[in-house]
Amino acid sequence: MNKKISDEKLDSMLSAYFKKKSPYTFRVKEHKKSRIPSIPMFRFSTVIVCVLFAFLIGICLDAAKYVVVAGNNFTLTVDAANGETNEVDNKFPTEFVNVEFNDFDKNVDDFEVAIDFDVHLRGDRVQAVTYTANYAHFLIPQLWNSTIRISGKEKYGSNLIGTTCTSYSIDYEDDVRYSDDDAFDVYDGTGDGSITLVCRLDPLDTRSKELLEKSYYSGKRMSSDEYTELYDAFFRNVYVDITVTYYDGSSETKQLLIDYDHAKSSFKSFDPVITATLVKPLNQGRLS
Amino acid sequence: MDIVFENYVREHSADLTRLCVSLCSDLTEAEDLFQETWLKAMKNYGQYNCDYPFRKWLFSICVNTYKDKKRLFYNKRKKLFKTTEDKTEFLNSIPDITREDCDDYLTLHEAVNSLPKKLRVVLVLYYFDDYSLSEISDTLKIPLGTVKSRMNNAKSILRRRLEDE
Repeated sequence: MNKKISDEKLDSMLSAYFKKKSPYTFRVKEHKKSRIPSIPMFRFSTVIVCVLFAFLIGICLDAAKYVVVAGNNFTLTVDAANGETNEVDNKFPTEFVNVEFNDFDKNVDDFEVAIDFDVHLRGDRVQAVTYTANYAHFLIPQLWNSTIRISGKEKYGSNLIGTTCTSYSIDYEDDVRYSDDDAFDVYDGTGDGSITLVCRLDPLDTRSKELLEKSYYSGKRMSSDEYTELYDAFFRNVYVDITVTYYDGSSETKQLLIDYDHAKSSFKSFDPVITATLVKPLNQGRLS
Repeated sequence: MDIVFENYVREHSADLTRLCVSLCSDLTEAEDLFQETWLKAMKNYGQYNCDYPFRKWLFSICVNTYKDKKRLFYNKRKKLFKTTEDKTEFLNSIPDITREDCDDYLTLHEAVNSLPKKLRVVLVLYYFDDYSLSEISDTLKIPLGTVKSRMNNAKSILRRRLEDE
């Protein structure tokens, strides 16, 4: 029988677990001389191996360059509430030549998308969408009833826009296919493609707007009833579509279901992330 | 090593050991991380800003070293306790543990050890040394939103494991 573990219980268990006493205390060791190779060890054979190794690295880097050239453009489009579009084209920085791709070769039942956006505004215009999207950033009134599209190619979205960071974590249930730190991974089975997340927040009613302004701008605390009211309204008004564009140019879009109860329960401990589940399973790298 | 640094070593070795053991599921790996952290701290001591607590500086070296280590390919199922004594020692190390909680802590231990590295680091910093979410964000140089989502993911995974058990 499944039991329920409350937030408080989990918190107290984790606190106790990580504050446990350690029976060990390591000591700082002096560095062993044997770790430092002495000059005679560099024999002729070692030199040959090094040259071959350097040659292989050269070939790999050269190949990687083509990979980057093949997909080094990205477009970021923001349709602000006032209808203006801000489009940015850029290239991936050359230092990110070590692009890796993950073969998406496993069947997965569903996956979660934690979407975090940070929207930079200049006046009432969207200047840039920089990173992750703690949904709280949607509470910016200028973005109500707006659509945000971010599409990137390949990974290392962290430098998509200047020095700021775009981060998606695409986490596969019960699997370890987590994206790398701040990386934007595209899984499509071919090793290339793009992914677009479209988040749409329908207009909220006047009461919800008042509550948002109270919490977001004045910093006043809302009562728990007000929170419940606001987040009920909020989560029922957010839609997330995911579009995967494949290497051959074809693309598919599916709407993600917001796991309302999960998002709501997460809020009890800290700002929730929107957790969405794909309507249909992703199979063999294709939306099916 | 100069005297000041030696004092730091004396003062912080026990806590650094605990941190390394919390981060790594394997004692040998933990000791390697410990040695590497002190080595880096010693090499970069000139860059240490005295206005910042040494402990936090040291810990940030440690977690970033851990983060940069080559990622394990998939979650390796490791044998967590080699002997029954190891298991008893682990349970005794947890403060105020009750007999009923023992199974939960064993499951938690296994679940924490199979968490992906990026989720585990966030969790360790938050609970091990009471870092705030923004301190974790600064230490790991990742956005605050990412810290929050990782924390949420980590806790969801752990909760699921505990509830399924």
